[in-house]
Amino acid sequence: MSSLALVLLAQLLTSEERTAFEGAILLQLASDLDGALRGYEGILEAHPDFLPARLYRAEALWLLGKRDQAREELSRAQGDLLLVRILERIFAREAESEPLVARLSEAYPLEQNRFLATGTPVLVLLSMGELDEAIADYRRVAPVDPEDATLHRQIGAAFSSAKLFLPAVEAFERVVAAAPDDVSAWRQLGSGNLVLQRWEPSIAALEKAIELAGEEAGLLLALGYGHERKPDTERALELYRRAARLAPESGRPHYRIGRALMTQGKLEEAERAFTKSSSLDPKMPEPLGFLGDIQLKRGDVDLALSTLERALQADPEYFEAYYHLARVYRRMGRADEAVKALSAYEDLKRKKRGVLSQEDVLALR
Amino acid sequence: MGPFALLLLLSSGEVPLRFVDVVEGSGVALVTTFGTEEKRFIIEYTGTGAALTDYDSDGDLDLYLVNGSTIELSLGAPGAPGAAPTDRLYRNEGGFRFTDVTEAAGLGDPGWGGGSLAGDVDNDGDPDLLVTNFGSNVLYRNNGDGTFTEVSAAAGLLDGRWHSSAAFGDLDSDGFLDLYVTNHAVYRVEEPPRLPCFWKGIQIACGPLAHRPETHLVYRNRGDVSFADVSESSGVSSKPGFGFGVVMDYLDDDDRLDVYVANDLSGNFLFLNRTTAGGGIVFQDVSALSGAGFVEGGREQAGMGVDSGDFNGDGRPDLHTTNFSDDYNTLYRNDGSGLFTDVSFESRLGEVTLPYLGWATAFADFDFDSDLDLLVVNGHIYPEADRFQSGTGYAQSNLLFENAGDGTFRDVSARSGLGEKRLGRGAALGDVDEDGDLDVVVANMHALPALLRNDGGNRRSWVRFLLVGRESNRDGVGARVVLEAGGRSQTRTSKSGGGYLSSHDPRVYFGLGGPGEARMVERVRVLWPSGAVEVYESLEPGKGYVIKEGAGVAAERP
Repeated sequence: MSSLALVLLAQLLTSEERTAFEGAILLQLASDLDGALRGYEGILEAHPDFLPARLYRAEALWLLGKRDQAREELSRAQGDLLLVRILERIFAREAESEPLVARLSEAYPLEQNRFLATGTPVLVLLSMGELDEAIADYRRVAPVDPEDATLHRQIGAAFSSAKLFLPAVEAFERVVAAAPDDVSAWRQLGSGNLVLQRWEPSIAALEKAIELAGEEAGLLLALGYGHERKPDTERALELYRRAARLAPESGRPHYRIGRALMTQGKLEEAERAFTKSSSLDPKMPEPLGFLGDIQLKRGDVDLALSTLERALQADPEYFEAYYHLARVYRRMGRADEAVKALSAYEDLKRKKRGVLSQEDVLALR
Repeated sequence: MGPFALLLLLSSGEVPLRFVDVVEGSGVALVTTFGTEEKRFIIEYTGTGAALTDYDSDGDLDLYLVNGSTIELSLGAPGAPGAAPTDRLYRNEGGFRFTDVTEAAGLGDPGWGGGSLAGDVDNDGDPDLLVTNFGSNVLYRNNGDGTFTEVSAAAGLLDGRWHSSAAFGDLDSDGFLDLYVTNHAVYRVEEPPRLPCFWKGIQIACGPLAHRPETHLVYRNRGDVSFADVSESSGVSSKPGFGFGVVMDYLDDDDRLDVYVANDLSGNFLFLNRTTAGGGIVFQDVSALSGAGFVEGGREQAGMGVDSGDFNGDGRPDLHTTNFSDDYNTLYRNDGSGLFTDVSFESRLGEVTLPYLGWATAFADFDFDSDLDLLVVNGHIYPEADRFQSGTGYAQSNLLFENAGDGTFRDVSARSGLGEKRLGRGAALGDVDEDGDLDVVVANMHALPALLRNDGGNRRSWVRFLLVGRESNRDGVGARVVLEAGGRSQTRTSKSGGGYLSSHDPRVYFGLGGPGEARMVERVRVLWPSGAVEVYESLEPGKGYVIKEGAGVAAERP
């Protein structure tokens, strides 16, 4: 449908029909929803493609609590309305198009909000990479039905997938307010807050998730990380150790234990934890990177060298290992190899950070 | 601390560190201006510093406080509120009483100030003053009669970029103080970034990564109160960084002053001085391979302030940098040969600093127990930090770490009178009240400075040295003093500029207390920048000495 068609659509009605349509809207505003529905349906009989009537009807159904019917009605119009939204965004960027935008807005005063209430535009906008628009749309629509847990859960998950953690957290806050036993929502709320580096809220949400779901290694690790960064390293260690007992085959809890022990300055214990982590999960480069760093700290350059080489075997793109390796070579007096390792570190880091920086930007929105 | 606990500490030989803010009634009245309270742009984040220097050569430390400005004033906006804020000079009248002598001294720079650095640029025996600005820096030559003359243009220091900290040091061993100036970001007030920037999900004024890092400046002192910009030939200008703090010290075991810079999110710089006799100033960039450029697996921190000091008594200066909140302050142990190891967590300095955003930092023996303690000045940059559960706060208290003597530090902040939360930035250390111990002036944003009087540091014995160079630069900057007393050896470098945007008391302090309190300074060896080495023996503690290169030692106050 062209933009012109959209504008003309509002002008399809005869003067009598327009009066009838406006009368139906007035009934709706006066809370006579049944009367309004009858009015819209009369218009739609003559003009089944007259989108505003369909959307006002959807709104009336929504307000009557007939949400499935409202969604069905809206779903029939989504494509058109999405087009309106997209056109509006395009036109809004061009000053000379302001009259057109004004006319569009005039033609669709409420239906956009109703449409937005389905959450569909947010999801579509996210898939299009229109992130700011998606967030703005969600914030406009969220107050319309804050207690629709299904809606907010769906949108929250989509925001999480897009690494837009602030709106994701906002969505999951609404989910847990509406459905306080939703373990998954508490989990998502906790992990979203972790990414946002909001330690206290993440701890509160993850504790609730554990209360509802029981202890799971993943939840304990996330909760431990919140405590580690808060910082309450002692509590973090306790949680990581519980996670290690629940997942005895996993190297990750031991890796986190090692990191927390390093924060406490207990290098020998950290070394043991990293060794354990690596033995359980040899493909994980991080424990080997930190192990190599500890070995370098205590001056065991030969051992550090072999450990860091193992880290690079586990993940040839683990640039951190090259950084340590460069320092090892420097200490061994192998200057050329140090420079080469440093160069590899810089190249890989640039490459990886290029990707990461985009993610970081997304994460911080 | 209750009287019983105090008695217990004293009976155990431990001297509690205690600071009292005595700014009220001191006559120091500068409430700094630094942009808006809302902090709309990065330029409004960074704050100011202070310099403690005896500008009138009357034997006590006077106080120079830098002032900032506002966007509106910088843009020359009509109707911008009030007159331009200016820096202030306060003359020390004794007993922590000061008189504002700014106008009489011919000072009062109205630029958007950042740092201040005192140093005898012309070797005439009195301290000159450099003010670093957002915009051109200003050099004031001390006329020797309590007044200054601005000589920035003639000195060749006009440069319109965003300057942060500065340090003097004789980089080419010609007997004159050269200069390193850190610059922060390429920034135009007229064109602030329009990006949306976020911190913990909250929109904030954009930090450095929304800007381009700036290259830094190295100036060679020609000896005639003018400087040659040798940034390019020295190798420094090829490496931009979001520069903040800078320190000059001997970082690779040779006899040339090296430069270390704390950069915000761009990796710290370690420039080893490779200048040869008669040659131009040349640096070798060893930042990454030294181990002091990054932490962990090559991660950049948000470096703010920096200081060097031999915390573990091995004779080599170590490095300490302050960083952003949710990251730790970093202690780099000097392993020799220009190699460093991050020992922040092993030394117990890491974990406790995680919630803080640090700026100035200084190694000093505040309790005179013969080892270097550590001061950290804090304050966040985002007012938004108080608006949700951010895990940190906007105003923050400062931190004091007492050296435990075993490679670790104890956090003694709470009991040391540093609990008040402010927006701290720069800090200058010195014996303001001439009672022997080191007091601290903290430059706070949008507030009076804190004048932190050290109460009790002088309960243990001490000694200090004012160095006067002859072949070396007049201030003796870069001289290393190695003191032996009570079976211990301590090494200090005489430095100019330090921490963050600030300049300390030029005298070199040693505590003589701790286990086996020394009754006598057995031996003092001075390694002058000229290469001369002088040894003095059997000095009485509890007083200051003036050591003149080639002319012996005398009591500071005969």
